[in-house]
Amino acid sequence: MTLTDPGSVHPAQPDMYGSDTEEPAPAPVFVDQSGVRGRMLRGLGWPVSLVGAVLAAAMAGSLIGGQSEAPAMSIPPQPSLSPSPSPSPTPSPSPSPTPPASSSPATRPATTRGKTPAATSKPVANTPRKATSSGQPTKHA
Amino acid sequence: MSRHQRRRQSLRRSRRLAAPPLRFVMPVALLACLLALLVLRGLATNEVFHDTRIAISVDKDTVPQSLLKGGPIIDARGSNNANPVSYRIPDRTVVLSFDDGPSPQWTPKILDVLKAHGIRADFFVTGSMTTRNPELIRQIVAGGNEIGVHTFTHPDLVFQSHARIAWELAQTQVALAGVAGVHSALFRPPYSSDASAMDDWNYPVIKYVGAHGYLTAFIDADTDDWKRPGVDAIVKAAMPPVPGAGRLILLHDAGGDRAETVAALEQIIVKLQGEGYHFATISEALGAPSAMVPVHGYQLWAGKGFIWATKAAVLGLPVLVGLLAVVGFLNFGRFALMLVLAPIHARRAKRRDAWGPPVTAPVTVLVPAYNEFECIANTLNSLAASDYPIEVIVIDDGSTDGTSEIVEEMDLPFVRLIRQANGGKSTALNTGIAAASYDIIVMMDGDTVFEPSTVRELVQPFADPAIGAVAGNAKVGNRDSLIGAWQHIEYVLGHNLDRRMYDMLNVIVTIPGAVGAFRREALEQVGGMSDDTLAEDTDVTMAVLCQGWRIVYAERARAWTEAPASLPQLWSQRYRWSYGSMQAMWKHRRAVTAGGPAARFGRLGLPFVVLFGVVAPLLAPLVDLFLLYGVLFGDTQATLYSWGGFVLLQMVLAGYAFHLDKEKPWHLITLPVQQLVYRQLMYLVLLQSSITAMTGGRLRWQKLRRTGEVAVPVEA
Repeated sequence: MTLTDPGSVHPAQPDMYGSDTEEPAPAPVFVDQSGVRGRMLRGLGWPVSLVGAVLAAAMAGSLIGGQSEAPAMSIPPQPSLSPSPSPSPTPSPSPSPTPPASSSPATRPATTRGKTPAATSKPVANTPRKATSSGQPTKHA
Repeated sequence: MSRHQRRRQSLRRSRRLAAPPLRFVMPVALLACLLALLVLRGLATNEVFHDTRIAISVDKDTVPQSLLKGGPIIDARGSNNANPVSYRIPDRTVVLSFDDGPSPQWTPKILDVLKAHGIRADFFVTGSMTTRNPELIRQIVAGGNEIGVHTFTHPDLVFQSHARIAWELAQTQVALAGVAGVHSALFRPPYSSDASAMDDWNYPVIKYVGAHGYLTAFIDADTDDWKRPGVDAIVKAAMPPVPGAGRLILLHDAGGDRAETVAALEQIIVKLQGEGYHFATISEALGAPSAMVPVHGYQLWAGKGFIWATKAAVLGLPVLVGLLAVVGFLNFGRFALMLVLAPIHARRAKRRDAWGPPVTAPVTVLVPAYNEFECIANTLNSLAASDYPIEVIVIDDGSTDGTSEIVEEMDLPFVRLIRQANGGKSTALNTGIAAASYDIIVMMDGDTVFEPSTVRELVQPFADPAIGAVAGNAKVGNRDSLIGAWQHIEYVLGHNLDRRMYDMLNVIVTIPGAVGAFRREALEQVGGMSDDTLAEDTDVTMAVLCQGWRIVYAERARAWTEAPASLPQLWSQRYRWSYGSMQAMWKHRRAVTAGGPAARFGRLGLPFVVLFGVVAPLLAPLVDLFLLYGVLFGDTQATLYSWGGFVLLQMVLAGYAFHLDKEKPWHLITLPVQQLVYRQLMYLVLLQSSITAMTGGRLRWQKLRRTGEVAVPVEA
């Protein structure tokens, strides 16, 4: 943005003259001999930096630390619906090679049932009363 | 610039590093905070990660027929993940669902209709709308309605990575926790319709989301209400084809004018109730407990913090944008001023008689020298070639490297050597002023080389009795390294655009120590050089301006200097300059309210340098912050285009400056990189020296007065 301002372009000689010892002369512009100003600003600056850093970290945390898992929600067996659309496990309508690729058509109910206890353990644990519901294999199709 | 500076580098640096890092920690912490706020606000306004691409439907080979022909609710959770199952809405049951909200304009109206009929519905909300309208979410929940996750930024998930999908879900839950203290187990993908629309691309998404525990809710009836087909069409689409069949209806409560939706909603409810339907939420229709589960502890507070911070970010953004506007206004205003004034100045400079009759009287050239062993011979030889009558006074400021001996050996007839105990550049110059024989005094550095015509060109303006001082044109000699090229560009721009502008406004505030000339009378009026500041050249220039003298720029008076060749050297040179300039501005602050001859400088010159030289560079980090934000989180392409446009503008300006200075433009190829390194370095230096000024700390090379025995500076 800054096309350097000429006010700062003054190729002055960057020499440092002299030694560390100072004479009792009027303090140069900005210099605070007592150091009170510096101490005060540092005393303010650290807490401000700390708060800034903590806030930045907290905000970053709220952007990456969220929980993407949904809460458990158990669904009871669906009553009437299943009969009509589930004459048999899906394979029959799809003789194409692809569905078998999904490995399950015929075995699906069995597999699902077999897996149920282990895989559903989480919903079960959360909502024990509906333990069976997560099974629902019949439902689909 | 000169050798001793280099030698002391390590020492100075170790000092800087030894100091507490607060001056670096604090700006970094605050900028990180600002960047985070920008991102939060960008998320709320759906600007961050915005993606409007929509996948076009493909084959459905991998989607089980049972799902394609099944109900709208897909359960791919837990044990069902391998073989998802679907559920239908029971007969004589209707679920109304509203996507993309909540919106402050339409959601309340929809809630009113629902409430009037004692009906509960499902709202699939986006995280960004949730964050922006927390109160609406609370109203939705308070009305007994159910909330589902519709992602945070509403992208087509088919195009997104698993990590991104997980983040979309998580962030929406964070927002829901923050505004309503709940998480939801319901999900509806953006751009979805009924279950038969699942295809090879989006089916894996459904399974992936299912693996995260979400129940995906598609629809039975798409009313297409977002196309605004008319109230009747919406109502018609919502009606079940088979009377009594269960129905999950899609409507929208955001994303445009939803007046038709609101009107249609009323009719849909009345009609369906007339047909004996009852209205339920999805979980009610499935006979399940609510999909919304209260959260506690960390999740709850992370959510609340997120919402608070976003609110602060949304409220605070206008301040940031305002500051950015200030930067833009200052910079573009300066560009405009330069583009108007520089050509006028250039035209004036072409006129040989601009100042009156040619000046021919001899002048004094002061060469303060401190350990200029390597350069002094070149300097004096270049003066020997001068085509103008001069007297040269070399003031050896207690050099320890034999500078004086070299001057004596050269034995030039026009050179006088004055030795003094080391006392600083200002005292050396004052010694020289006192010894000068002539009324016009040219000042240069001991490591600077003049062209034969430099002095003549420099003193011509003194034909005008109102002119008290003249600034020359300092050129970078070593310009073939990257860092040299950047400084070259900077000098050419600074002299040919900025300085011409300041000249036209009659407020040149710095006569470079490397090449400048003063009327002796003006110097005497201001009491000679002062060592109150580290930038004695700026200090004395401002003092002369305050006396009402005019100061002009002589572009053909060229002086060649050697610029710092490494970043640390450049850093300490600029540290000194910017600190010294600020000291000088502060020292002359009373000019702002002064009357009389100082008024013009105080009202115009000083505000100008404060704004252009301090305020704009101090706010410049904001520009980079927005740039970073735009590239990383926002519209990368648009950001890069506008940055490119800005660089192009600078390129044009710089090209013009190079043209005015009759320089070959080759070095300008480094300009884009300069914008990414050098500019930042310059504002960092300014920031650091401002901090030093505020804390009142003592710079090592500041006001170090000589005491005989320790006169030898510490050598590294």
